[in-house]
Amino acid sequence: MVIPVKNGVHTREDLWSLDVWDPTLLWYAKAMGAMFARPLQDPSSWRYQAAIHGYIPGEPDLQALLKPGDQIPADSGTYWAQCQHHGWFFLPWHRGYLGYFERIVRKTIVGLGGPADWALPYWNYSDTQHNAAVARLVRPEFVAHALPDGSPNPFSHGVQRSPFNLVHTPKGQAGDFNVGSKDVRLKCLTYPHFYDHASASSFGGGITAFNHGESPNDTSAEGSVEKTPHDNIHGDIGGWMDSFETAGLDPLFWMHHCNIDRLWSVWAAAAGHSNPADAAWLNPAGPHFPYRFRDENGVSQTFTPQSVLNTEASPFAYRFQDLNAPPHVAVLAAKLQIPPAVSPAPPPQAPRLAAASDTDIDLSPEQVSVGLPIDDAAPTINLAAAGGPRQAYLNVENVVGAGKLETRYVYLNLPDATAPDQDPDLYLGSLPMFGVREMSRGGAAGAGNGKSFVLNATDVIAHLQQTGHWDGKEVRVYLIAKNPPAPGSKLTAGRLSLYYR
Amino acid sequence: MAFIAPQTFRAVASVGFLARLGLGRLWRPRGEWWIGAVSLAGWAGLIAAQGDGGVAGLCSGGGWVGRLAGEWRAGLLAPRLIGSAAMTLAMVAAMTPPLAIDSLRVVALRSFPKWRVRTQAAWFAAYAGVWAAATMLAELPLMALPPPLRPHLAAAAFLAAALWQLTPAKRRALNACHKARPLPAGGPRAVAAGAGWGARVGAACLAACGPMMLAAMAASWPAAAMAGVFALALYERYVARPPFAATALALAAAGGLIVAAG
Repeated sequence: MVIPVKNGVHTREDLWSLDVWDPTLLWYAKAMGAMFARPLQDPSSWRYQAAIHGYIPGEPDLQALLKPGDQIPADSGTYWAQCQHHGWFFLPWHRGYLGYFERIVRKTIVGLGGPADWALPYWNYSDTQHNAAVARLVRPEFVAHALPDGSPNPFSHGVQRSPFNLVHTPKGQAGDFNVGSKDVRLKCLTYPHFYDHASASSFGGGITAFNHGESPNDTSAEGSVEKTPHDNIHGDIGGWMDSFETAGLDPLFWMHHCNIDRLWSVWAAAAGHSNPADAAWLNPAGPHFPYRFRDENGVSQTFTPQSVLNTEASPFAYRFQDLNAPPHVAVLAAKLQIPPAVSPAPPPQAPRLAAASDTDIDLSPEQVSVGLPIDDAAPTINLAAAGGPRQAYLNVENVVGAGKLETRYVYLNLPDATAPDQDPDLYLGSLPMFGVREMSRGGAAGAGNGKSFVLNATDVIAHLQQTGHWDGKEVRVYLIAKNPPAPGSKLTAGRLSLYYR
Repeated sequence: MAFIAPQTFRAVASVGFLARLGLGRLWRPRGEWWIGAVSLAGWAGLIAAQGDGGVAGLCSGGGWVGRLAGEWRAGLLAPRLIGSAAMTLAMVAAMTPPLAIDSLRVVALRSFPKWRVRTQAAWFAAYAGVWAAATMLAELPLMALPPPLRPHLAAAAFLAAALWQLTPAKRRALNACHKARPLPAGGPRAVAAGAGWGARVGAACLAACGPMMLAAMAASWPAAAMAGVFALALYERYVARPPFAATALALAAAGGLIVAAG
């Protein structure tokens, strides 16, 4: 049901808590249909909204949706292709993007005769308490061919996604896109700092300037929430969702990002967590700041990260139905032994390189193992004893690829690589491929540095040490594709490395 | 003017914005103080060289071969070449370290401590070496140019640099300046890979910013032109999607100023 606005604040509901074709979903579908019919030049059109996230002139996916008479708007240079990825502006930029989109949908719904209290629902795929059996499935309304009145369903009509299986649920035939529990694991919520050094894990991402994926900063690093679950869900749903340029066309995109936005609120509400206090993040300067959007009336608006920190205040005024973290987060936090934050800024000392592989690793095969000899001069890590390094991070540097790319799951020192899940304590994390293609583009499109991943390896190394499987001389990394790699796809990593702090 | 995005003007108006780009990076306490020191020394050299006639007053009368031959016979050529080389070194020292700082940090981050300084040094030597060699190569014909022609050449060079800003090749070259290369963590292979990476980035940066640098050289290295070109290069290095139309306009305006000044 659409929850009434209270004190001017809208409530974003849990998607799976809604009834079949709940008014929240039905009006969202109707609004999508109306917005899709609008000309591309209209800032409130569905396609204009998608192009804000990503657009490349001549890019085939969006071009295929052009209708007779459509023209690329004159303001596209200012408002399109602005999405922020692989750095600390990912969360605030998407919060504003989502907020203005929600206002546009709400106005459209009101124009169609719907409720003014409408707010975007969030897809809590990590839910292991209330809707555990179905949380990772795509709701029936998004794969159904027709609306309740028999008319074509904008949620699915012409929408491009990966192949999926239909699964019966109490709410109908849901879509199983093979979203695995590893893809939605919330290790990200255990990290005490919003940002950190490029070689260390953080919640929100490394320090960057404006970063649309062109890799203007050689040391940019993705935040752990951006990696998992964000990137994983994009890749699992596939189709339009698997590309910067088309992701916003899929209605699932908005509910997915609504959940990412919720996870930011969950993280920020936890004890000891706080958003950056740096002026360079709160109110950045430069030619691309403040961020510019067109609101529901087509009026140009601006915002900075600081202006969207309080979600219940203007300009968006919303709260979430539930801000609880699932129980597995506390379990992970205990295993990682991360010291609590003493300030919003990360420790000044950057992690130290302890081991590195050869360069130019071919990751294309379904399974790859890479040895990392530990430097003789590196300090000894002993997580059971006091002193010495207390954290370890695996870096997978400069991953570039082409074609349909599959998520890789990463393990350390597997005794039997043919059955990786026999020992879940050796599972380190995943390398989702969303953005890899975009960040691999060289030439006029970007530096082509690819994407670099950071995985916190402290819990796995502690387990290896406890079980006597850590010799301190070499660590072997296993990268196993979630699905068999597509023919013709190509994936390489510049290097794998291990850092201690 | 309509083709210049409003944010361009905001950027230009942002007080202290440039300082937040490269210059600000120098003062952060991360151990790269030597980069700032080298750059400052280079600028001191460039400024000190102003007023000695620079390289503009080298030549007089006759064809360039005859002039150089005359200077050779008079024993003037060798000192002038040494002066030019010193000017080149000062320019490279002044300008290249701040442009290289992000890449040098990546090299440091990805190297074992024992090999860090050597790999960084190899990277920087190759990067700066490309610039130094190109500057010297460009300086030789400029030395031979009759002084009255120098302003005309400078104006034309600024206009050419402005046009270069608007080409796709410029964007490709600038993107290549940001290119990271896989780096062995230590050993001679790391040093060699660092040098190779530095040389490739140096070549890309030369292609991206060489035309504007050449224009400043053609104008006889005035400090104001060098500082302006340096600011533009710094801006382009550290800002995503720099507004090329605006930077082209600035370079064209510099060319126009030279023409107006006669």
